[in-house]
Amino acid sequence: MTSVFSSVRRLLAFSLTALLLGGTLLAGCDFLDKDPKGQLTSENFFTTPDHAVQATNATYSMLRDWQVHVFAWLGVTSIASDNATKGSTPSDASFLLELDNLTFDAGNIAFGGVWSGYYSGIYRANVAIQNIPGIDMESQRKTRLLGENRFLRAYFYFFLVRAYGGVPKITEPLKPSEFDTQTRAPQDSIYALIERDLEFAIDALPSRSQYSAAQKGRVTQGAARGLLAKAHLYQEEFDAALQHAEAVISSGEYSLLDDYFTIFRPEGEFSSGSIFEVNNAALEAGGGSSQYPQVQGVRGTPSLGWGFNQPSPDLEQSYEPGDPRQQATILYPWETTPDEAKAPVHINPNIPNQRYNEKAQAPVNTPGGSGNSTVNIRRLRLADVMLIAAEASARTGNEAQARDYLNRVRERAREGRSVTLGITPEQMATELATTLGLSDDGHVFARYAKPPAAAAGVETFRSSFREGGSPLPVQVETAHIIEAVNGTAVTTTEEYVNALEAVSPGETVTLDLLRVSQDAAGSTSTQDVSVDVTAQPLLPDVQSSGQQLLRDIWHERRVELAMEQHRWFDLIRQGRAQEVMADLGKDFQDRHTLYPIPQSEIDLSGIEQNPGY
Amino acid sequence: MRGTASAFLSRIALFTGLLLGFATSVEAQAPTGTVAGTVVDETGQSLPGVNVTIVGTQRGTATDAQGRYTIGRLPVGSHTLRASFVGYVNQDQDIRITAGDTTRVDVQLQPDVSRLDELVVTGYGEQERADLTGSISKVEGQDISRIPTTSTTQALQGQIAGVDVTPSSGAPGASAQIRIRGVGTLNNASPLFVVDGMLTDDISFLNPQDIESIDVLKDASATAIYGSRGANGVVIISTKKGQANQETQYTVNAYTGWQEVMDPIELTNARQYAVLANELRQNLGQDPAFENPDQFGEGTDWQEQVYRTAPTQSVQLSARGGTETITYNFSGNVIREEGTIEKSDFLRASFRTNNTYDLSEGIELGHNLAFTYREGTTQPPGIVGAAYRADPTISPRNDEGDFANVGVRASSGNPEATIFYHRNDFSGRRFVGNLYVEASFLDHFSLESSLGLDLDRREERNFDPEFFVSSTQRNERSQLSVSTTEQNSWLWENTLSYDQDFGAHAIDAVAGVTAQAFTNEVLGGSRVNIVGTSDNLWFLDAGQQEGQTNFNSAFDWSMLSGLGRVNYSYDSRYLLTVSFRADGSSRFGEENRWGYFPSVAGGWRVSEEAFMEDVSLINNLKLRASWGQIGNDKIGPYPSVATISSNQNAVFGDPESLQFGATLAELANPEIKWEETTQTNLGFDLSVLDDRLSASVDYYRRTTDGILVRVPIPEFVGVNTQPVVNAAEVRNSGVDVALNWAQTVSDDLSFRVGLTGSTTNNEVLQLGQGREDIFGGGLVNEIPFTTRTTVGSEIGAFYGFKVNGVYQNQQQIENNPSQPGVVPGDLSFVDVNGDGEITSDDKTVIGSPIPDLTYGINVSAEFRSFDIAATFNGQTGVDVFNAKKATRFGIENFETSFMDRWNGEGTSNSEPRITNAGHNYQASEWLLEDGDYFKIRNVQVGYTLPNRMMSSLGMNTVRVYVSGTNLVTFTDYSGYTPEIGANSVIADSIDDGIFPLSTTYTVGIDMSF
Repeated sequence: MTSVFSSVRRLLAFSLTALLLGGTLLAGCDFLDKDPKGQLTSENFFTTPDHAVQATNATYSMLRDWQVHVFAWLGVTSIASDNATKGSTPSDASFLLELDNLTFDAGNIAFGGVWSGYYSGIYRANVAIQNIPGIDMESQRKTRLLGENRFLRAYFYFFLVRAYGGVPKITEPLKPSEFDTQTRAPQDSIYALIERDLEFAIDALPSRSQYSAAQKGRVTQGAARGLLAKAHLYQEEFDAALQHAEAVISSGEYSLLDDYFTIFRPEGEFSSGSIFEVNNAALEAGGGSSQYPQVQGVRGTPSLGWGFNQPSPDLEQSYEPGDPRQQATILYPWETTPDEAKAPVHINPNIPNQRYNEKAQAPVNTPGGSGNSTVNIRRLRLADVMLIAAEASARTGNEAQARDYLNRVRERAREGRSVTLGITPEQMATELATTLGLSDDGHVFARYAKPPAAAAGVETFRSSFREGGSPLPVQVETAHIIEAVNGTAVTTTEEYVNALEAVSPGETVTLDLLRVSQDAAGSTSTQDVSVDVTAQPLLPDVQSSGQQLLRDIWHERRVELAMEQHRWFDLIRQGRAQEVMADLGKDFQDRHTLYPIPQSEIDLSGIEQNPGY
Repeated sequence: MRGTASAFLSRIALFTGLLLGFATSVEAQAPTGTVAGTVVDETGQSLPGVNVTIVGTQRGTATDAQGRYTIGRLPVGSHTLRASFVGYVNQDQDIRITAGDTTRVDVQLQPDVSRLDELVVTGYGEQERADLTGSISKVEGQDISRIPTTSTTQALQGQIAGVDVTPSSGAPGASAQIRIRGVGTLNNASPLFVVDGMLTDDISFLNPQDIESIDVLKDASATAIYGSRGANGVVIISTKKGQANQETQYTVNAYTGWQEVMDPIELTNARQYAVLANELRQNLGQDPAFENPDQFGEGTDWQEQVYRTAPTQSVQLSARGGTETITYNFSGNVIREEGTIEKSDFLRASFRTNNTYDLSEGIELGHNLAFTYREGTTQPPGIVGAAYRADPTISPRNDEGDFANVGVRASSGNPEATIFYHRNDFSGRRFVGNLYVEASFLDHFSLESSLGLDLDRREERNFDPEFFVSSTQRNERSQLSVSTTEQNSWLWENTLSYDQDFGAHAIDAVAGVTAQAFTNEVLGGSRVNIVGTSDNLWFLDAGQQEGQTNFNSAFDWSMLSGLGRVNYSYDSRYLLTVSFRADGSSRFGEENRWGYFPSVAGGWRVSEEAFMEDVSLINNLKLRASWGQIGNDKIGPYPSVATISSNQNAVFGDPESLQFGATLAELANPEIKWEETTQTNLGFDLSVLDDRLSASVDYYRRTTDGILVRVPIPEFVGVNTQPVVNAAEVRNSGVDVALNWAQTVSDDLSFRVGLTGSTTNNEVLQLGQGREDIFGGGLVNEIPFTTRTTVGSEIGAFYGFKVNGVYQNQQQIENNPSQPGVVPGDLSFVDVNGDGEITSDDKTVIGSPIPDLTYGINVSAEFRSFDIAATFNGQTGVDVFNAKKATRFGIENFETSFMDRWNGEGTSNSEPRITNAGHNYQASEWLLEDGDYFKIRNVQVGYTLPNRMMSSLGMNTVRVYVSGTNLVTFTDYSGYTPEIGANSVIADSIDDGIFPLSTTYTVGIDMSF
């Protein structure tokens, strides 16, 4: 029995030791307290100046977000308009097709997408605006960071107020108890917030030239002024719009870049006419880009993206004869890519529209493929501000000044040329020339012919796709190769332009053309043709007045800013969306002047829907 | 002996040393004697491995290969000797020990067809089946190891009522999805695994041939002892151990075999494809793609190109036995499985040692240690889909021998090229084991302390060289990524058990304290432009500095628990079990850190009542009822803390650079707590006809409350991650039935037939404030979602349009509600809400991803030296969404069902005209298929060589067998298999191109000597 008791004693001793040992081990190191690894938590953030900068950067990062400037956003700003078709294969992303056809309802995921994206941006700006003042830091820098966040908040609200009208006005992060109590603020009140934020930003932000090179890409005083001009324009406050637009124009910070083409190339980023653009970088490690170019990139060969938001035939035809901006805006399968790689673009038989948004095409050789692209998203250009000034001048009775601003934009578009034959000339890609059995010498062909050239018999380039052959860029139905202008041989577009230098508007010019066509089997036939065309001024200065002047300004906005995601809101603002859409056979109803509040948001919060949905 | 053991063991752990310190000084020197004898079966054959114990003491042993046993140093006096063996009735015999003598006691055991005394492993203890009040099913190791697979979870298919097993894929080394009694959560619905006491979520390290038995805990009475982790059921796995006083028994188990893709999908050949492609383009108003479809013949069968016959082998060696004080089991296994897709393979080498040491009177030390090494290659992503989509008119290679561009019309890359270029290698090492000390004292008590460790390290290496097949299938820069995951966990459990009979009253009880901690850390990086392609260069240093990425993340959790359980029985007639567990978890905020999980269960053995004595038909009848609450903690590690989102970077500067951004981007819910499941179970066990037929039937009802869901908040709040709250409620109910018929017909013939079946009725009762439905299962292009989980429906119910045939002509379209743009040949959808037009409001529940009934049939028979065993399983009342058919960007290859398409009035009323998108490709019944199936899971025929032949060879047994697994599936489903597992319970049974299951044929040999 002794042994039994001793064993009990020892067992108890053992248990006690184990318990004590365990207890000490576990209690001593707060066994059940675990914190996230490698991550800050809400408790230790917003304590240093670095946090203020980081939170501001986080607001900027929303500009590259999928919901803010990519997929659904392209739908609501561009695909819905007359400038673009949905793009890609017919089956891809049917919700965008509903936008294209104006058949959407409040359940369309595009509306929820952008709504959430822009409010996420507003949340980040609000978090920064709420917390930065409490951080102990140098005051000028603090003011600038607050100014940046307030600019961005205004930018986000400006989209929302145009897309949806009055929306919940949230100026600081909501507490859970406030989630249910929000209502839609009147449209005026949102605009008032935008104006207040931008006025604050104008005072707080440095001008473009005051930023160091390392800060390039941060928002500027000029951007705040330009955006404020636009906000006033949308409210038809033309005096204020003019005042702020002119402040930008006369600031000395900006000038129109000579070459329209360059604006959209990498070397045109932050060029002289750029007021606000979203900076994307194709870094080796990735992480610095948005999918804005990928979504619109050539689908197929070369593989630059998914081919959404394609320029519409209606946009193609809206350019005046010979307007070079058409060529800068629309990329076709017979062309080569606009970057240095000059890769031939091939027809994609699976997609119905073969026009791509050239302004958004990324270079072919980008590290890690098309999802990592350097293309910046140009959001505000001087030409836009000048056209705002033109419109505001016209609306306030100063038509001469309006024409002056308008014609400055047209003058740049002429690119030093003065005469057009109604042809958009294009250098023939080597691959295409080889396919057609043409010599190695350069060839210029008529890409797009409008009267008077079309009236004289010069045809627009026509092509199609032939199944099963070698990978042709296209099969040519008809191409008109310009061999000589008034007897002067032409092999490059430059020679073509030079040959027209001596010509004055009204003169008759003889074009020697080689008409090339291919039959279905691929055999090429050629025919020499000579036509007489009456030369006309290229993009002549606008002389109109009254309603026509306004229409001319609007037309100029369309072609100058085409495929830059301004068109839909312009049409709505100008009050002629119904008329324009009807011409395309689309049923624009009154309700379409505003998009529906996302159905899910109404279900969750009980806020009011827009009329007609 | 004691001294050395003590010295050795004290180095292992402090507490064992403590225990030994006391154990070595126990004095016990009273007069003793010995009992010895032989145990034979009903035919007089000696029985090795029989447990022989002295009732009421901790003394015992097991018979050796000749059925002999010896138990020495027994106190003089009267004892009861008990011989017990799985499958036989326990035999008690009174014996008398005299000082210094050896008493001879021979025992004959009778087979027990009722298996009432089968020991069932409950959490933290064992119980005889007869005394069980909860619902626990047991599977013997031999039924697991019969299936030639690397995965223990896959081997469980069809074996247990209430356990639904779906292979996650046919890839080598793949595991399976296990659902015990339906889906009771919107989060992770996998059960908890307990391997020799170690709690884990991943049992991929286990070699199925090491398994002694698997016990599946289904009702709350059984699982509540696992508290916050028991809500999805608990699977307890015991591995094989040695037995005392048994000569070393060596066994060799080896098999070799081959695998083939089970049921290739029927796809169109080149000519059919060309016809359909032309018709498609014609329907789109485009020129035909092919001038003359008849020019093509069969073309390329891409499935044949991609799939192969793949070998598989396994060799297992083990040595098992014991002395009076030590038992041991050593086993080693190498298993190799090549995948039916090239460049996919899996190899696992494992070593296990399960030993026990009697250190002194009443003190036992033991360990179960397993070390596993594994390596292999994972098939390139998207291969299955590419083989399905690829254009059959194109050859894999062009005339120059280069990979052809397969994506001219179809949106697929060349699968051959992908296989050729891509590499994804993995390797891993894992140690899982525990070391325990058990001290028995005062006859009725025992104290056990067990320290378990699970150390897992995985490496993964992905390499893509620079290559060009086509503009859409190319890699401009070679790329390498390497990552290492280290996952460690320790578990310390201390339990005190008590077991005593007071006349007719019997009590056993257990109480304990446990603690577990877990850490996971990932470290890795990627590089581009690797200096070469050789695998010697698949290291980060071989890549370019510019563009490198590096990452390192980690998480951890810990848990502290107290537990207790009391089993009480009166006269073996009335049974009661009460259990309780308290869990504290680091995952939750301080306020809700602790959860409490009670259960109670009762049993009434009606057949033991006096009034049943005359009912000779019924051998056993027990009624059971239980109630309990359990939790599910399978959620992220820090749900109650708001973290700062970092890497929200901006791009500034000239040159451009990333500027680090970070901000508050989520809302935390400090009030978050466990998902809580309340389960009620009513059941009975019955055996009749001299125990030949036994049945076990359970009705259960399991309601999970406070299911963690992300509750939508208005988007204008601006926070993208919705906060997690305890809101939803789901109920599962159903019946589990297990029937067994076992009969020994003659000395030469015996057989057994087992049937299992279970029904599940799943209903969402609530989804939380503001939440009406959860959509899931979105597909890449056209269909934003395929399932809707809503109150009153089942979780993840398929959601779409009902189909009412195909519009034959314009007249029909005009006479019926239709969508704009519909033309003849398109599907006619049903106007469910009757408003005269087809809108998204007409979408409705069109199918179920949860089977109404799953069942299994197990048959085995022995005739002389031959044995045969077969397993069948199946399910009914389930649908599969054929997502791969719905995803068409280009002109993908067609399933042959497209040949029956509508192409003119009266041609078809089920298959629409050929289109690639639009109307017909919305989620509808057309894309949903019947997922019912019946499968011949496994058939094995074995032959055991005659005894006399063996003894002359010095062998105990030699058995050879042939086996076939996944032989035939009877189903209407068009894909590889209707068994589709999912990662998410709200997007289950969606076939987006899973790795096909294999049919496996093996020949094998089992030897022991």
